[in-house]
Amino acid sequence: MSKLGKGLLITTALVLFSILMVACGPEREPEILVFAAAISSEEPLEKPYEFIAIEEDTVSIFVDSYEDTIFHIHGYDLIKEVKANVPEVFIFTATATGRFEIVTHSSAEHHGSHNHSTNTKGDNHGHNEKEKVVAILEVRPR
Amino acid sequence: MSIGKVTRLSLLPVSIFFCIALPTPAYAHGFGERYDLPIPFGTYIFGAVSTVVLSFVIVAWVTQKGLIDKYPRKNISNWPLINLIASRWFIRLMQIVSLFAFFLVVTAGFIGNADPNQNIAPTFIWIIFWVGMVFISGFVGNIWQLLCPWVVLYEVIEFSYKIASNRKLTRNVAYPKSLGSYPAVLTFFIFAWIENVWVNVSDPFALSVIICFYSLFTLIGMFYFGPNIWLKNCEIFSITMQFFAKLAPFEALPISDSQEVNNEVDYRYRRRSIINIRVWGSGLLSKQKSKPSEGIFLILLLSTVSFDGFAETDLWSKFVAVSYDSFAWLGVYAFSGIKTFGLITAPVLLGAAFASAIWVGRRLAGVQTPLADLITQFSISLMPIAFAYHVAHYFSYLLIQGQRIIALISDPFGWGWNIIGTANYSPDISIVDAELAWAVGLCSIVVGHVIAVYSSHVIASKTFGSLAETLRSQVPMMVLMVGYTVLSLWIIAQPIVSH
Repeated sequence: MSKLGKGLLITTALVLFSILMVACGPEREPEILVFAAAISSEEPLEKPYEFIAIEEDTVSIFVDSYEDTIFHIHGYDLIKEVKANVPEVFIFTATATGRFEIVTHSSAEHHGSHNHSTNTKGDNHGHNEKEKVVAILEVRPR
Repeated sequence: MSIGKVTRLSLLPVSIFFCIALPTPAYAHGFGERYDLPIPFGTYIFGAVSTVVLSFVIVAWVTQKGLIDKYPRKNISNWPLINLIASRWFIRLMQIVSLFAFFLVVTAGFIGNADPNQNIAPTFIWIIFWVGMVFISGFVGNIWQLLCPWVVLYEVIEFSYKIASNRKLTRNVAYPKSLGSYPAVLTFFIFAWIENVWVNVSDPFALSVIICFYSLFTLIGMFYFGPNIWLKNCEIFSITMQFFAKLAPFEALPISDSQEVNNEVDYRYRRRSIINIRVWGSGLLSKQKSKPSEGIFLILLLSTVSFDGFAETDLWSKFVAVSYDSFAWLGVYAFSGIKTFGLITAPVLLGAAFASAIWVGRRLAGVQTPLADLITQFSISLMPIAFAYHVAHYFSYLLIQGQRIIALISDPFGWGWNIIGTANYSPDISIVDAELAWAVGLCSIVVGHVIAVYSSHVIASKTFGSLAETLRSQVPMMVLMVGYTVLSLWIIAQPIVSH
């Protein structure tokens, strides 16, 4: 076999091997996962919480804040108005994979031009709007 | 027109930039949000190894079989569907739609809802046009050549003027050759700055103001030099789409009155053309002379797209944290200053690395061709890498955030309309799962690398002549391309971090 043939053969074998490695990863049944994110002061979080779920898991995220605020899970576009020190919970099935920010909007912002409500569709905020990233929800493929 | 006047005209975008960009202090990037998961470490390593292995396979191919530098294409102008699409009335119809969309977007920016998510302008400009049109140019063909609204608008004005005065509108002033595409380089940098740094990037009103100024700039340029000359040298979107369309499977070539096919692109698409189908990527082998300014434009294009991804990595965030004190004198503009610094540094670094690779290759090949000529000739081989990274970076973004347009078509101004009943449509974020995004990202970057290495070998064989010289000259080039491909893979293997 020529060198060219060998090269092509090795490349093809590598591609097939890698596809198999990716395709035959360990699989588990969907689980119910519980996470919590709390803001206790005005000080920004040193690092956002990181929550990791697998596609099709049922995810519960408890949120709490020292002040009245709105929690918003980007992508899934779930919104909860939270009263000071009264925890609320998001419960949903992680149907879409990706990294989704969980942010808060201060009361000054949600009385402004942006109209958040539980029926709001789309990511209803501009890029130049100030929002605090509280956590990252990472949903990995099954 | 003197060069001085031309320079003043080309500085118009700079003036606009200073007038409207600076007053707002803050930090932002792009429009919409990406939810991509970083590619797994194993996939990243596989991509990197494949890149190296495939590079050697290309070398083995070149050594044993020789290069295939033919430009195979088939004229399909007689196919019924192509006949329909290429017919004058169909193109006119599409141009009317394009012009309507242009005015709709600009008007929406001025009088529509100020919320970028409720107004059609930001989504249309950044996602449908900028991201989507590049995809269409690379995967289908240069339809921007047909749809460019400024050309259509200019033709309407030109036609009206001729009816009214029976004189030609265009001055057809000789365009200074030495100016090349440098005005486009400058304008593209401003565009990249707006996209990557400017805080009001998604503000509908500000976008419409910019479009109006850029439209005026383009129309004045076409008036003085003629549409084809201006679009070829100075209009950044025509130049960008034309570059990406070199990869596309379809090309349109104008036919002269003597029935000769002209390889020069008719940016205005006025002459009768033949439509060819060709192997994807083979357009890079077409015989068209490049200018030094086009090489710089390509380096800028590639580096700014890569910087867009790099600026979302944790490494960049750490750099911002470390360098903040050095930019603190800018006050509220400090973050913008850091990102502007990054946006300037990226093309300088890539340009220096590219020039070094060419210089070493020239030494190894032992030829005397001027370095500037070689840089110009080889720069086109960077184009597949730029396109591949664009696909990897924006694939899921286009398909997920691009869905916003479905709702916005029903309510373009954000006034609560529901014209075609889609105003309540919510984007389906599960339309692209992580595995598909990884596969597309990995494949596009590796395939882009292969095409880049191959086209670089073809250019080297035409430039240097002997096989030994060709292979020697390509060693540093291949090291650069492998390095850049691994860097691109590394960027998509990083989690997107918030700012």
